[in-house]
Amino acid sequence: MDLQTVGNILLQVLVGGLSLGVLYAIVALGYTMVYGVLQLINFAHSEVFITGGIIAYLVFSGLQGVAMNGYVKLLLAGLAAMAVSGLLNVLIERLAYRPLRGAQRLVPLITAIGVSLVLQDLLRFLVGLRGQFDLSVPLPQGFANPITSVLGINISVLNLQVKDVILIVVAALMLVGLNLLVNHTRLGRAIRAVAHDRQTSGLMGIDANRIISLTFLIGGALGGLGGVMFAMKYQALNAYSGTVPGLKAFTAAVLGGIGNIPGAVLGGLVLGWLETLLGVISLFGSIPGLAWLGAIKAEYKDIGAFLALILILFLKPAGLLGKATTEKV
Amino acid sequence: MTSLSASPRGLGGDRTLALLAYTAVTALLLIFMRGFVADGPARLLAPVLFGAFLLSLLFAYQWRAAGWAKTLVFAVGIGFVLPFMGRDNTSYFDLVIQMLIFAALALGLNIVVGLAGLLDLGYIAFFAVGAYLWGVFGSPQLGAVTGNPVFANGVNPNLFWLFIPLGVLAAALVGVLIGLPVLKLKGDYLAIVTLGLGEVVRIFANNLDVTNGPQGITPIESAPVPWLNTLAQNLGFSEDQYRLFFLYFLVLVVIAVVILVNYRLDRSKIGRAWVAIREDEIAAQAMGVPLLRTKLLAFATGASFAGAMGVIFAAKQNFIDPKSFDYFQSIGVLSMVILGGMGNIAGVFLGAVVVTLLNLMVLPTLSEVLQQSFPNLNQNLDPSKYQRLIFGLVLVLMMLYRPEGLLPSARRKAEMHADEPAPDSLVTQNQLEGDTGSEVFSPGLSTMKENDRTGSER
Amino acid sequence: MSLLDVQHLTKTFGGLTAVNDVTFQVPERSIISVIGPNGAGKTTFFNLITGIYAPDRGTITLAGQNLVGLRPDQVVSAGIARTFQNIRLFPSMTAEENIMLGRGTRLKTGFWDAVLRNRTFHRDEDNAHETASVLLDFVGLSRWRGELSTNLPYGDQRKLEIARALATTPKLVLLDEPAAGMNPRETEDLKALIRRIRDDLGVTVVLIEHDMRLVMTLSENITVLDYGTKISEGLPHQVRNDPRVMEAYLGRGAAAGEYGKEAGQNA
Repeated sequence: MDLQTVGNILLQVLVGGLSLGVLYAIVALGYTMVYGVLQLINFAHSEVFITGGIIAYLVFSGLQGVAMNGYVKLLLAGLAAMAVSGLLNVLIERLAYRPLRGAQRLVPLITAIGVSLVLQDLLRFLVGLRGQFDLSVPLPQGFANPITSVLGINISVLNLQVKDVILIVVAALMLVGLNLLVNHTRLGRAIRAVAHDRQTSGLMGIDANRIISLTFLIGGALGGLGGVMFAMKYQALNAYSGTVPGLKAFTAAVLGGIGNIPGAVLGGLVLGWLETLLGVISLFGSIPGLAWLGAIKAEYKDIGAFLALILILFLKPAGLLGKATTEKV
Repeated sequence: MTSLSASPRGLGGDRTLALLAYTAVTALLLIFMRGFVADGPARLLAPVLFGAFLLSLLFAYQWRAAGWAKTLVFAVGIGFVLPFMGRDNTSYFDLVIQMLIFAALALGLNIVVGLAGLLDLGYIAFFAVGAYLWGVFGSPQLGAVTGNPVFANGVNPNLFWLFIPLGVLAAALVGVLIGLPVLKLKGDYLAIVTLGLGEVVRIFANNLDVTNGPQGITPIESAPVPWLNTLAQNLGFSEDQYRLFFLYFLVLVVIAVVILVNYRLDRSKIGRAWVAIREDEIAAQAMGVPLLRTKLLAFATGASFAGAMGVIFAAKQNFIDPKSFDYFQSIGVLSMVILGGMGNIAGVFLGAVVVTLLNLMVLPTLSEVLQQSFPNLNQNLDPSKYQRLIFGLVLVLMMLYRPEGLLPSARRKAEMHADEPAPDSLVTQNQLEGDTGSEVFSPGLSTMKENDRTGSER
Repeated sequence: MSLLDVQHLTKTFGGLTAVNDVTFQVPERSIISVIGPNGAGKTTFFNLITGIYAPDRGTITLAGQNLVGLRPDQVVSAGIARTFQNIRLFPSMTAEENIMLGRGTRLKTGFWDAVLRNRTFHRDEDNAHETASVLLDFVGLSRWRGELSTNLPYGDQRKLEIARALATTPKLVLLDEPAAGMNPRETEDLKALIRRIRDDLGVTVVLIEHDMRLVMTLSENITVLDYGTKISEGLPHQVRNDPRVMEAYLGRGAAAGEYGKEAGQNA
């Protein structure tokens, strides 16, 4: 294997990992925001997320023959997914989590796991009404076109498609927007206040329940958008597809520092690159002296995420960007 | 089910007669109706009859009745009725053994979750350790891996007896190795990391050569017990039932040990330390409980039960593959613990029996009957595909409406309702603080600096 | 020689110094109070001694044994037990079990002892029951023995927490606002109890307390913290008349007025 090939592979990892990383980041935000206000791992977020993917499938396949600009289709799919996933998340909070406020910590956590399972089968049922289990998502015209050159420079080696650029751009817009929302609006300030101290924020005239609902709405909507991105990236999904990416997105949130928005983005990117690299690392086994890399099967890439999680929690429990606070005794 | 929960031991009058009558009726119905419920829509009655009979064993444990009557019910039920049904229909044998295996798993997880309050979502990994340990050594897989023709059929099947304790040791060791880094984490982090590690174990099992990847391992030996086979033969069991006949009694012995260990640990300094950690880690440590060591002990003990049962499971199934050990299985065991009642041995046992009955008998029977009656039914409506929904509903509904489980332990009940407003507002306030007083990482959403000064004085 | 010897103890959280260069000595068989306004760093001070926080600087020794770097459970073994400002009993355990749990640190029962129920197990269980029975009697809660701790009246929960701390056979017990939420009669009982802890059990007592009547009549020596710094130390009447203390409690202006009034009376 010559240097050129190694370089090309690494470049592809860089770009491929970026589009995977922003996907994780978008989903991780839903976990991180909810954790911020309720200190709860919303296990059901993985289903809220894949619901977005299913909506994307419905919109794209429903409009498949329709002569409509692909970006308009994407916009429709994105809006529908964000609306449905956001409302679903709000509903989950109202029905399953709110009655358990103030219960022991394990209680809402176990409930969240239960909700996740219930949703998996409900989604499978709904998808199955069309007689299907595995969905294959048609992309709007032109989304799968390769991008071979930018400003006259040949970049065909990157294996880049139009949809990858869309993913990255959409995610970047969302991240900037969310950052503005949280840090520069009244709503954002209220969310931060509730995250900081729910009881006191209540005394300050903030309706904590409303803010929590809104947080679930925003987090769920982001999750739904993540689902659309997932559907575009892989073009294949089923009702159970949310679990593993959801788990990884949560890992990304913890990696970056749970409750921390820039942290979730950083964690997502790190994880995206790590996973993409592990997926192809066995190729480097042909390099003399690195033969052992050849034994790392692509299937082991999932292990990388979990080992990274354990390592980070062990070395820097507050995450890359989080700061630890001492316990109140 | 309300009658169950409303009959704590020692309350109400003597029910010796009721117990004997109930047991006799359900046992006789089960035995004499077995032909009737074997075919057609009447099959739907089979789980009902079987469940009704199994309840008699629970009543024998729960009700206030004469000791001899309780012993009689247990002896006849376990020693005669269940093996009799197993001889008649092997699937009963299989089901009962599976129930007992899951009960042991649930009891193991009960120590970790129910007593020590550590939410382990990768518990099934320890089961996998035991299963693969014997699966590899007790099958031709050993010959394939080592390339040594001596092991063409695995090790000497008599070594099965050695591998049960080895399974215990291996699982406990893995429990300690996983626990050391992980148990320093608090509640929900622990949950997600154990979930991840459980997946890691499954992914390895799916990709390593030793485990034969997704194809799995078969056939797996069991210990030869000639005298028991002779006994089984004399009792009219067919040859293909000998192994289940042996494993049934083996599992009974193992589960008796598991219950004894569980019970004795619970009622000792160690059990008190576990409960203390579950309720208030800071206070427990400030009262002299070494956190890491005590948690590791819970982890390793729970793991060891799973390890022993893993070995037996491999021998019973004759075949293992990574599918038996995924995240969903861990959740299944968790829902047994939750359904029955965390921290209570009888409750956990009940949970395991109910969930296993539901999964392996009720749902499949329902599916088959539906398919026979309505051949054109949408596949999508097949009830046996709704295990996730059922586990999920069990978890959600129990947490919302009865977090202490169907058969709560007195201790757990008190704890679960401790958050209800107490007459003294100060007390309520303290409990609120106690609940949020775990290691909270700064929610970075807040730009405000945590005020440690007032925080520490609150 | 002092039983507890704390030298130059400092703890900073972020930019905030919660405990600043505090030196503190507790003679054996004494009753010492730590007072100060809210947020003065008193509880942090206790948390440093008991190993919940690690100090940034300074030394802590108990009867010559270094405590810095020990885990909280090791500090208990070394001989310091504590209670909490916000009661932290184990709600699902009975009063007796709470005390038995506290006794655990002096018991030897291991995994196999518990599983096999051997002589060690039985000796330890007997010991734990005996300890619980003696201590329940000592704090006057024998009638609550089998009751879940969460069902006890508030004042009795505080006493039970003290009994649980005593079950560890400490040399020194730290009481964090033991009288908080008690009515005057309960406080009188408490005062007698604390004296008996010292006189009958020979256990040294350090308490954080806001009830000044209790502090002034009970303590042999008082240390005053403000903004993490020790601003005064001495006999009760010395501390009471220390202008720095009044200033800390009442603010500069008020303290001056108070001081002036007192000076005027003296004149």
